[in-house]
Order: sequence, then C-alpha cells, then structure tokens
Amino acid sequence: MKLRKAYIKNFRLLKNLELNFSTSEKQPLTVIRASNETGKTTCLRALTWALYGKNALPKSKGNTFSLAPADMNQQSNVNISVEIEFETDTVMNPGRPNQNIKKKIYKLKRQVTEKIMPDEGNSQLNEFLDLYEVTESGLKSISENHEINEIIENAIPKELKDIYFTDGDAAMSFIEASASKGVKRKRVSDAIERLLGLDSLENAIRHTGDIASRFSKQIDNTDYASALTTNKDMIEALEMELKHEDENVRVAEENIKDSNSGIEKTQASIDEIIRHGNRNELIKKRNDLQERKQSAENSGKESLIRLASILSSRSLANSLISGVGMAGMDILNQMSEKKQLPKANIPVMKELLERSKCFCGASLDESDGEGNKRREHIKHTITASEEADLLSEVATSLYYSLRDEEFGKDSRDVWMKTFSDNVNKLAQSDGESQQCNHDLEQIEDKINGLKDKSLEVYKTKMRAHRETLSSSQIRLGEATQQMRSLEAKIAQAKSKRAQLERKLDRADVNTSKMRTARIAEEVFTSIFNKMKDQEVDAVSAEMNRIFLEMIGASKDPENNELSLISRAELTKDFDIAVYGPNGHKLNPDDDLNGASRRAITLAFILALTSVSQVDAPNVIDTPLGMMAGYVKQSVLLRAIEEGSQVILFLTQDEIKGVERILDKYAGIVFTLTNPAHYPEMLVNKPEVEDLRIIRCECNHNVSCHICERKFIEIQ
Amino acid sequence: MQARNPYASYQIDIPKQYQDLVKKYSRSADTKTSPEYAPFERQVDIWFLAFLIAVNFDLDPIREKDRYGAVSAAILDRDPYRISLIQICALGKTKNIEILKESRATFDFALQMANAGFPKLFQILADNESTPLFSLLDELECITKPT
Repeated sequence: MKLRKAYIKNFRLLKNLELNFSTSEKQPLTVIRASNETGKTTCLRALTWALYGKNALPKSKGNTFSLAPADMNQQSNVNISVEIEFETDTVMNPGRPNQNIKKKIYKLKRQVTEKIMPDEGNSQLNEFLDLYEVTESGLKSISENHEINEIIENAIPKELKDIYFTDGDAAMSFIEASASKGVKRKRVSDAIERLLGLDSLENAIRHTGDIASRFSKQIDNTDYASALTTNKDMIEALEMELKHEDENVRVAEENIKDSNSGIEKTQASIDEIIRHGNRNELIKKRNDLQERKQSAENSGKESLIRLASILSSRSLANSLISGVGMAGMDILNQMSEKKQLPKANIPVMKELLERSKCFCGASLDESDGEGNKRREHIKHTITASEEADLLSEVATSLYYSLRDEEFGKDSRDVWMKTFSDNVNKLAQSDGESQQCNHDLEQIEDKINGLKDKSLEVYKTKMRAHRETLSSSQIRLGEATQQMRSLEAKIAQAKSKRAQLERKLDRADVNTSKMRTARIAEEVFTSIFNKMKDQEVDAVSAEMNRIFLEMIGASKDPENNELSLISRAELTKDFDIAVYGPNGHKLNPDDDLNGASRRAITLAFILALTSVSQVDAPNVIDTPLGMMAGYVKQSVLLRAIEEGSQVILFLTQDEIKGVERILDKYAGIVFTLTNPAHYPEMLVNKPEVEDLRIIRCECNHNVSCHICERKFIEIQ
Repeated sequence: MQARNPYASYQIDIPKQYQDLVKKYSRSADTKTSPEYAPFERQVDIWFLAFLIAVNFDLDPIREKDRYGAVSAAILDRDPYRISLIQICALGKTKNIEILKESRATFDFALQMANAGFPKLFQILADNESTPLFSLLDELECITKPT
C-alpha cells in the first residue's frame, strides 16, 4: 500500500491541507519539512484517524479527542474530514494459474461533525466513512463497511498503525530507560506481534482459549458414560423382569383358561349328576324306598296274616256253622229253659272257695262265721253238682261257653270287616310296594346311570378349579400391574438414557469442541511461539544488520577492537540488547548515545517492516532527532532502503546533513509552516488570519516567504 | 267255657291223600311261605276249616281209613272254642244231646266232617283265578252270605 495524497480539512491546525506522497520506486522518500509544532504529529493523527477512526486517536480521559480547530467558534458545528488516496497491489485470482497483481487506487474519506463545546468537551456527530475505488470509469463507491474495513486492513492492518505511523520519540519507547524492563519487553513483543501478524495469531490463541474455556464450562463433569452404563444395566434388568412378568401373565392366563375350561367341564358333570341325581341321594332314596317297600310288604304280609287269621277266627267259624250251631244252641237253650243245665258251675264254685269274697261281695272268709257258712254251702253244692250227670256237665259247659256267641250274620260281619279292612290294607301295601318298586327301578336306573365319581368328587374338583382360577386371576392382576409398572420404569429409564446420551453427546461435543479449541489454541500457541521465535530471530538479525549499518559498526567487529558495538540483538525475552566488544552486553540507556538509541529503535522498526514484508508506507515523524553525521545519514538511507514508501516529517535540523540523500531519494518534498511561529521563528508574516498550517512547496534547499525561518541563537 | 279238652288224648287224623295238600297250604312246614299261598298257620287250622266247610255245606261225614296223625288233639287247648264248636255242631247235626257225653263220638264226628270238607276246601284253594287265600276268603264270603 502506498499513500498517494491526503487532504485534511479542519483537523485541528490542519484546516485545509493537502499532502501528497511520492510513490516512485526510485525516489520513494517523501519529506515533509516542518518545524516543531507545525502539525507533524497532527498529520500522523489525521492520517491514522482517516484510516482507523477515533480508535486511532489518543485516549483522552473522559473526553473525546477534539479534532476541530481550536479557534473555531463555540457552539458551532465543524465539519472535519480527511481524505486519503492510496494505492494497493491486489492479487487477482489468488491461487490460480492466471493470478496477477493489479494496482488499485482508492479514495478514502472520513468525515465527522464536531460541535464546539470547550467547557463540556466537543461532541462528535455523524461520522461517515466513504471509500471509492478510482476506476477508469470513475469513482466506484464501496458501500459496505466491512468491505471498506477489509480494504483498509489489507492495506495497513490496524494493529500496525503505530509501526507505520510513528515518530522517533515513540520508537524510543522500545528502549527508553524510563520504562520498566517489562514495559519495554511488552512494547517490543507487541510491536513484533503486531507487525508480524502475531497478534492476530495471539488473538486466535486467545479466542480459541476463550472458546475452549467456554466449552469447558459447558462440559458437565458428570460421568454420563458411567451413568449411562448403569442406566442401560437397569433397563436390561427391568426388561428381563418384564419378560419374566410377561411369562407370568401368560402362565396365569393359561391357568385361567384351563381353570375356566375345568370349571365348565366339571359344572357340566355336576349338572349331569344333578340331572341324574346325586348317587348318595339316590341311594338314600333307594334305601328309603326299599324301607317303604319293605314296610309296605311287611304291612302287606301283616294284612295277609290277618286275612289268613280270619280262616282261624271264631267269627268265621261261627258264621260257617251258623245253622248247625244255632240248632245245637236251641237244644241247649231248651235244656236251660228246662233247668236241665245247672246254674252253678262247679269250676266257678271251686274258684269261689279260693277267694275270700264272693263275686257278689259277700264274705267267704273262713274266720268269718258267715263267710265260712257260705263256703260250706258252696262245698255242698259242688259235691252235689259232681254227683250230677256228666252230660249235664258237658251240656252246661257247652251252653255257657256258647251262650253269648253270635252265629250267623253278626259273626260274619266281624270277620268280613276284618277281611275288608285287611284287603284294603293289603291293596294299599301292594300299591305302595308297587310304587316303591317302580320308584326303585327308576332310582336303580339312575344309580346305574351315574358315573363312578360322586358329586362330592366333582365339587372338590370344582373348588380346586375355582381356587386355581382365583389365584391365577390374582396372579394375572399382580403380573399385569407389575408389567405396567415395569413398562413405566423402562420408559422412564429409556427417557433418562436418551437424556444421558444427549448429555454425553453434548459433553462429548463440548469436550470435543473444547479439545478442538484447546488443540487449536495449542497449535496457534505453538505456531505463535515458533513464529515468534523465528520472527524474533529474523527481526533480531535484521535489526542487527540495519542497526550496525546505521551506526557504521564494523562488519567484522571481532577484528576491530575499536568497535564499541559489536551487535544488536532482539532477545527471546523481547529485550533489545546491544553488545559491545567481546560480546559484552551494553546498557542502551547508559552505553548508547541518543542517536544510537534512536537508530536502534528505528532499526527495530525497519527490521519489523522488513521481516513482515508488509508493503506499507513508513510515516515517521522526526526520525532523525539527536542524530548527526554518519548515523543520521545511515539511518535515513537505511530507512529509505528498507521501506517501500518512506514519508518523513523532518525538521530543518534533521534535514541538515542529509540534503544530498533527500535530493537523491526524495520524490516529493514540501514544507509546512505554522503561522503562529511568526514573528519568533518566521521571517514573514503569514497571510492567513486564523490558526492553520500552511503548506508551501519549498524543499530542503529553498524557502519562501511562507516558510522562511529566522536563525535563532539563544543567548 | 270249656273246663277241659275232652279231645286231648285224641289224634287229629287226616286222610293221607290230603297230606301233601295239607302241608302245602299250611305254613307249619315252611313258615316262610306267604299266607296268600299257605293260608293256614297250622295243619289243625286247615283241618278245622275243612270241618267247618263240611258243616256249612251239610256234608255227610266221611270215614277214611288211610290217615296220618297230623297233630295231637291236645292242640285244641289253644283254641278251646273249637272244642265247643265241634260239640255244638255235633249236637246240632245229630240233634242228640247224648252225643255230648261221648267225646270220642263228637271228635270222630269232627274228623269225619273234616274228611268230607277237605275236597271242597282244596278245590277252593286250588282256584287259579286267585291266590289260595283270596280264593278261599272269597268263597267263604259267598258261602256265608245270608240268604
């Protein structure tokens, strides 16, 4: 990148200033001759502000760095702008065979409106950045901010602005004694990193480190793998238990089915038994019937016996002999009527003798006189009777034995009643017996039709089936319930498993990402360190070369005992070290003069630009201060040689002694004058009335009415 | 009532020809036989009913020589009224009061009348229309029916 020109408007003292820069390769030097307080630093700031915005401005505590000219009216809005025209070499078709480098010219304009408020601090409004590509067809606007920034960044990276836009004093910061060693090292380290792009790498390291940390924080330290294993084991156990319960369900269902079938069959058997009758009940019935039958038969037999007894009955006999009997009784009756039958009966009388009283109640007691008397009479009668005819006896006995007998119809009625009654009873008995026989037959048939097993056996079987059914149903319920519970647990465990897997994945992902980030960080760090080491060595070597050339140190210090400085080195610790004869380390603060110190810092900067191979202008404000003679020339020459475009703000004093170099290498030289130096330092009164830097085209060899300065010698 | 059994020393003889029938229709030989088929408990009972049937039918007494002693007439002690009936039948049949003092004569009368009555009795008993008992009872019902 090369600066072509810049137009600065209202940027502090630079109210209307155009700067143009040499882009010649043969005369790459641009010299802007300017005394102190002539806006040199302001020019640098204007340029960097244009490129990088307010971040390039010095940090002012609490206040915005004011850009507007100090003499602007209060409460006025000042339009501030800086235009830079620059050219870059853009690689067309990078990486392709037809790759070529094309020069592109851009016009950059940054502008801002600043409201003048001295007491409160100026406020900046409406900052705009425009970039145009200068093409053959005109200005081509680059509207996208990111594209603008990319082009600028490619031209001169922001991190390098302090390298390429620097002043000699700032360069001294690398070795200035006022800074602590750590500060100096950091400055050197930062400079190296910035120029070599190591800060990008360092940013990448930091970024990847942050990413790694972020992922690390996202990593759950929970041992999800272990938890997942436990979870999977649990699922396996639950599934096995589920399988077991499923088997239990199946067995229970089968048992239920079998039990129901058994119940059905047993019930059918029971029903059949009941239809046919219970064997025991049938047997009991049979027995009852048999008893009834027996009873009936017995009753029948009794009836028969009673009927048969009629044949031997008195009444039958009387009825059979009725005529003859009555005829015989007639004869006896006649005899009785004729008193031919004794009234007394000897047996009766003999019986009376055995009694103490007569049938009539009279006493027959022997101790009793009357009784004894009667007894004697009876004895007498007995004797008399015995003395009667045997016939009379028999006839009399017969008569009295049959006197009350009924012959004929009455006696017939007696045995006929018996006959009738017992015939009826016999008929009943026979009927009962027959019915019993009939019933017995049926019962016997039923009994014979019964199966061997009794109802009780089937009832026992039924109970067993029902018990099995009940227990199976309970078991089925329990197993089903258990299955549901297990299924829910399994679902829950699987959900947990998925969760763990996700977390594991995430953990793995996060771990993976973290590791990737860490690896990237390590790689970047490694690259960074390596590059740093390499670049440090490279810079060190280059710095040493440039520095020694600047100061005119012998190229063979070992053979030149007069050389004070044998070499300069950029250590791994980012110390800029200078060594004297025999490798003795010199203290830059004590052992180097100001010129050498400035030279070495410039050498460091130039070494950085050389090693970085960044094609960017070196814009240095007063690089040659404190230098004189050989060193000044050498430094200038080295700067010109090492830089691709060197833009130097030089005071008149700095120019002294290097005019020939400027003549040779300065493509553009012009002078900036601060009218405020009139009359102390300027010969002529400036023609402007406000505070502003004025440019004239005088070079180091001439001066004009604007820039002519007085020779001042302070007494 | 009879003071004693005038026939106690006698033997109730039954014609041998009726021996089997007597045994058949009496349960003394086989007590298990149903009264329906062996209506008479004892041989004396069948003998006495034969006597009564003969009296009822006014059959003539029949002397049988070929007889067997079925049972002692002392058995009539158990049914003393039978003795009275024999006597009264003898009296009524003979119209001779004197027969009463002839116990042998009255007893023979009974024997002979029974001999006369057996055929009728067995005829009745052998009626196939009914069992012996009911044949007999039915017949007895008829023959005792008042005219």
